[in-house]
Formats: sequence, C-alpha cells, structure tokens
Amino acid sequence: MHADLECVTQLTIEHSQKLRNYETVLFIDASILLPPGEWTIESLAPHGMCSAQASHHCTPADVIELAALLFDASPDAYLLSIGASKFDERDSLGEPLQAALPNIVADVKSFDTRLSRKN
Amino acid sequence: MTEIQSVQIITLTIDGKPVGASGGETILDVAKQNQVFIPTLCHLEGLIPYGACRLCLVEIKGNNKLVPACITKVAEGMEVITNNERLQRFRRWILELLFTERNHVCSVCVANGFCELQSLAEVLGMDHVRLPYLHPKFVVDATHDRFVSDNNRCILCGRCVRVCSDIEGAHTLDIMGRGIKARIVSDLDDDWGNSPTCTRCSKCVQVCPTGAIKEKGRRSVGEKFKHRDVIAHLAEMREAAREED
Amino acid sequence: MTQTITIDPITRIEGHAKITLHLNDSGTVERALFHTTQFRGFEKFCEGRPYYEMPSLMARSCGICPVAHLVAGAKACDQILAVKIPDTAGDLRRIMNFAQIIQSHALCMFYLSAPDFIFGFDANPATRNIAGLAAKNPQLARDGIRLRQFGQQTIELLGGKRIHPAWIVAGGVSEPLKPDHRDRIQVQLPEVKDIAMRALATFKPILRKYESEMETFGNFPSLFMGLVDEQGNIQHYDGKLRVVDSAGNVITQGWDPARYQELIAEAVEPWTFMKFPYYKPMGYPNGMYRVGPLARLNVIARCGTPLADAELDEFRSKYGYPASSSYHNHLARLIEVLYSIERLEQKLSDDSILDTHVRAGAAPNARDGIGVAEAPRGTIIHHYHVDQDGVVEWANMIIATGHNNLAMNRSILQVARSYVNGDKLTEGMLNRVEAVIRAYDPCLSCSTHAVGQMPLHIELYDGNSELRDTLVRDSA
Repeated sequence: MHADLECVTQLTIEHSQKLRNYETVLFIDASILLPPGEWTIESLAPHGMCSAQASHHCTPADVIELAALLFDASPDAYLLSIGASKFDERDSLGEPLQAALPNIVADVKSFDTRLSRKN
Repeated sequence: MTEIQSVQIITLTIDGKPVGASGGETILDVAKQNQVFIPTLCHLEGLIPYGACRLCLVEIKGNNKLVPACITKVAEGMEVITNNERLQRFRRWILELLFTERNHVCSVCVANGFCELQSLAEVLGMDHVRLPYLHPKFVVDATHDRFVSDNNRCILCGRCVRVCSDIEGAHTLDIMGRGIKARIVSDLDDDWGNSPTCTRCSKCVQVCPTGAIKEKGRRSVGEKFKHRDVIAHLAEMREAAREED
Repeated sequence: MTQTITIDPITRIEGHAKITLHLNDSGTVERALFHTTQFRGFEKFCEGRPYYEMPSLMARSCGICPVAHLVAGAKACDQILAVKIPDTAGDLRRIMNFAQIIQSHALCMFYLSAPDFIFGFDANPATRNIAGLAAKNPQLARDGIRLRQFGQQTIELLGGKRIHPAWIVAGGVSEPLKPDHRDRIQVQLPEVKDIAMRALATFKPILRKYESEMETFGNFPSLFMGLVDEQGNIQHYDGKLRVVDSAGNVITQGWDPARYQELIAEAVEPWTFMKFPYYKPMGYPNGMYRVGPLARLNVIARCGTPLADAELDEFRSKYGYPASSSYHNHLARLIEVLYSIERLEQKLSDDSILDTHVRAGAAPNARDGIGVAEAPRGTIIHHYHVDQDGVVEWANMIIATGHNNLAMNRSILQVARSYVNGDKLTEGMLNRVEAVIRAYDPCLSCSTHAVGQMPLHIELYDGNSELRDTLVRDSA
C-alpha cells in the first residue's frame, strides 16, 4: 500500500479537493480531551455538518464533508486522536506519551492490515 | 633546506569508530575526513580557527569539560563523542541564544535561504525561541558605496574580522565593545564609507554567515548568495606560493 | 438607562475587531463604534532599516493582499532609486497584482459573503457557511475554490510562493517569467473566464433580491477615490488619483499620488487603533470617502476591456452613477475579477512579457519614495523617507481599510438604526451589522498600524451596564 504523508498546521477548505486522489485518509491530531498517552482511532463520515467559518480553519470532519459535497470524494476516513496536555513551544513529549508512542506507531502501521481485514 | 619533520600518527575513536590522524590536526579536521558532521558557525575553511561560537563542542571520555572541536588537537587514545542528546541540547541552546539576542527575522532578511545560522537551526531542530528577544538597536551602516554593515543581524563570529586581517591584510574591520554591546566596526569606529583602509575586496561579504554584511546593488530580500569556498581557495593558493619561495 | 451592546469578535472577517452600539434612553442606537483592537507598529519598526527591505517587510502587514503591499513598497523604492523600471517588470508586477485581486475577491465573495446571499441573512448560522453553500450549490462552491486556486497558483508561478513572495523588488522583479510558467497560467484562462462569467450570471439576480440590505448597507452620499489612467480607465498598478463626489462630479482629477499629503490627512480617535483618513479640502469628518471595488467603478470612465465594460454598463444602468450603497461592492468585485482575467489574457499573449530584462539598478538617489497601488480593498499608499544612504528615517502607510474607516463607522450606524430595535439581539440583526462590515471586506490586520502614543481607554460595565470603572492612558 502506498501512502503520502502531509504535515500541515491548518486544514483548509482547499484540502477537500486533494481527497479525490485517495482511497483512505488518516488524520492524525493531538487531543486535549483524551488523557496523555491514550489514543483513539475513529471513523469519519460525511454527516451534513460543517463548522468551517473561515477559509483556513477546518476540522477533519469539515474536510471530509466538503470533499463529499464538492468533489464526490468519499475516501475511508479516520481520525487518530492522541491525548496530550501541554502544548507550549518546544515542549517535548511527556512520559505517558513517550511510553505509548511505540504502540501508537504500531497501531498506525497495522492500520492497512486492519483495513483489508475489514473489507 | 627545510628540516623534514616526522609525521606522528595518532589513533583515536570518534563516536566509537577507530580513526587515524596526524599529530597537530584538530578533532574537527579528523571528523571531516571521516565524514562525521560537527556543526560549526565561526569556523570557515581558510581562516584561522577561533573557537568563538561553541557549536562544535564535543565530549571527550574522561574529561568533564566539553571542548570545541575546531581548536582542540587530537591525542593518542582519545575517545571523542560528537553527537548525543546532551550535545544536541547544548547546541540548540547556543543557537537559541543567538536568535534571542539580535534581530534575525529571516523572512525579510537579505540572506534568507543562504544563511548558515538559519540552516543550522533547521538541521539541529532549533524551531522555537523560548526566551524574550533582546533586540538591541544598532545603526545600519550603509555609508560605504559597495557594502552595508548591519550589526542587528550579526552573531559576532569574527569571520569578517579574520578574513580582513589575515587574508586581505587590511584589518579594516574589528569588534568593539563587550557583551550585548559588541559590534563590528570599521577602523576606529568611523563610517565604513570613510575608511582609508578598506580595499573594497568584498571578502567580508562572502564569509559572513548571516545577512550582517551585504553587497549593495541588485540584491534584495533572500538574494544574498555567497561564495564562501573562495576563501579556502585563496588561503591554499597563498600557502602554495609561500612554499615555492 | 443607556445600554451598550457589544459584538465581539466578528466572525468571517480577516483580523479582529469589536463593535459597540450605544443605545439611548429610548432604546434607539445613538452611536456605533467600530473598534480595531490590534496594534501593529509597522511604521515604527521599519525605521533604521535599509530601503530594499521595505517591500517584503511591509508586505508582512497582510497575508491576504501582500502583493499589493509589495507593489506599493517596490514602487516607492523605484522612486528612491529614481529609476524607470523595464516595461516588462511593470507588466509582471501588474500580472501578479491581478492574480491577487482574483484570489482575494474570490475569497471574499464565495467563502465569506456568499452564504449570506444564498441562505439569507436570517438563516441559521450552522448552515450559513461554506459547507452549507457546498451542499446547496456545489458548482458555485467549486467555482470559488477554483478561482482562488488559479489566483494563488499564478502568484506562485511568478514569485515561487503563494504567500509573501519576495519577487517584487526595488527596481523591478527579481526573475523573468519562464515561458513554460506563462503557458501554464495561460492555459487556465478560458476556464476561469467561464467561471467569472458564470459567477456574475448566478450572483446578479441573487444580489438584487436583498433590496432592504441594498438600501441600508452603507447607502449614503460620500466621496469616492481610486486610481485611473490617462483615459480615465480603471488602474490597479499605476495612474493618477481621481476623486468624485456623491453626484458623480469629478472634484479631483489627474492628481499625482506623490502629492497625496495635500489631498489626504489622517485623524485619530481615542477608541480605536485605526486612523481616519479624510479628503483634506473638505475637512474632518466631512471629507469622508470610500475606496475599493465600488469606489473604483465609481471613479472610472471605462474599464477598458470588452466583457468588463459590458458589465459596467449594466451595473450603472441598474444602480445609477455613482452607485452609493456599499452593498454593491460585492458585484463590483465580480466585475473586477472578470476584468483582471481579461487583462491577464492581453498581457500574457504578448511575448514581450517573457523579456529577461526585468530589473533596473541604482544607488539611492532620492530621499522620498511614495508608492501607490490599488489593493483588492482599495488604494494603498506607502511613503518612505530615507537618509542619503537609503536607510529609512520614517515611513507612512495609508491602507485601504483605513481610507474606508469613516464610511464603515457610518455604515454600521445606518444598519444598526435600521435593524437594532431596543435591546433584543437576534442572530440576523447582528449578522447584518457584521455583513455591512464584510461589504468592505476589511483587512484589519493591515490597516491598524498607528504609531506609538495611542491612548487607551478601558471602560468596565456591570450587569446593568452602569459604568463602574475607567482606566485611561493619556497620549504621550
């Protein structure tokens, strides 16, 4: 399986156009809702809601929504949320996250296997 | 007839790897010969090593102090460590302090894209400045008809001073003041444009690692390309000429 | 009991602002103040810097229309060098400026304003946004994204970067246009021209529907200012300043932008960081004028390109001359997008655009440089005063949103009086106040650069809106 990696500071409306080219999209984002070191992978699907109020402030769900509405693109989409608590400049990974990281990476690596099992 | 010196062969390890060196060589020389990267900023091939920036600090087993690789000679049995987390942290600190002190706003700097400070920050992962910026205000000296000196972008590496004095032989440029007030001056702190000693050779422009010394003319933001190799070439040619004499 | 209604912050405009509406005892709006709460300080921190850094430095004041600032800054530097830049360099700067007008207008129209028109100002904010637009009219949303993408790609092909390219420099541009880059821009022109035509066909009837908004969105007599060429045609890069009055009479004609200080003065109010430029001959605040897309269409004789001129004729026959409601900025933007595309067609089809002589060089020869250009939001003025070696001693910038400041405050009062009644706040009413500001597409980040001694006045109100505490920092 071929994967492209893109790192962005902001998701924009224009990103929806890109999703046309992919079968599967995995968004990876930090989350303040989860305790540090915990992570979840949830499936995202167009759900008729979009909170985008500006051109450069979209959630992964917004991008999925727009991709479906505008470009007839409905890739399998997932959001990997990784719990973290401190986001100051140059903060390094805290201990719980440091410890969990190998497992998170393994989880992402096994992602395509699980996908194919699902199909 | 010159006396034939016997070359002393030294063995040491760099990052655990055994390497051979000649006596009198520095750790940085030997590391380079063995393709080991040690970051440097004040060092420049062709100029006399200076040991000012401390970016090339390395660990030597059995020695509590860190030593600058550019001016520390190799010794028999030395075990050098050039890269570990502690060294990386210290190097990032040094860069961070440089960025904190003067105005290094890359986006509007003539050297953007050609700057050694900028590229080292990128290589060493210095991506944020955590301390408050100091930004002492220095007057930009644009009085020279060919060059501009902007101490606001200077990191006091002394390359321009050394090239002016050691290679060109003019010694127009020097450093005046101490600490945060230290700055590059021409002659006795006169306007550069009035300098009776400046030969207008532009070597200082070529060696400056940042946008502190810049050529005038069709060079704007992000256009200060430099020919840094030229100094090593000049030094080598001079050495060859001296040996012929 | 008087009451203060605060709308803070306003969504869907770039930058930050606060509005306070001051009700009198009978519950009607007495004053409406548009507060700009950011302080930038661009004029101050460029002091002591060499002139050649100015275009890039000043362009950082805005991420939406940096190209217009690059153009104005570089034109000011051309004057400091006292050079005539190569014709191709001027045309390349024009092309980049057109590309930016297209992307900026597309952002304003399709992303920010269209949801109001498609769904109505009273519609639920949960759907009144770009996604709602995408669901209801996907073609329209795709067109917006495509237009914006075209503008940004063109900027990138010219300057190597989408945002803040350092390509426009003192004396011209830093690199000539590569033939294959020209081709890549040119090949997209038929498609984006179709989009522009389609957008006009779609929006014209929709915009007409909102008659009461048209009546109250900044619908008052004022002056209009913009650049025109020698024939009186629209100009975004060069030209002379023209001012027309509310009856359409040209009251200032062929005014050299270098003499802007005789035409415009700036007033300061203690409650906002944004200054209030005014037309000097009429004094403050009577010398209120507007700039931007509508103002440009109101000052010109013609556009000078066939399709845009046809649209201009239709516009004038429908809304009169000069069109006085700021609401018409929206339609004016679409006409300008079409005009920009037509001009791109002309400029790119001429092979002289590939000329490699694109930069003039000189030492600083003049102490003052004044660069004026039309940004998407209106006229911008950059004035740099340098010492004999080209180091900036002081600078002055007057930005499009600044020019419109008096008119924006007036517009907010007008809308507030029509839609705010008593102390009832509804989303639709609040949104109209915001929408009238969006009609000016204000870029607050670039217009709030007042220097130094801005007095601060902070008032603390309790739950009953009684003034409890006041903190005042007097001006220095």
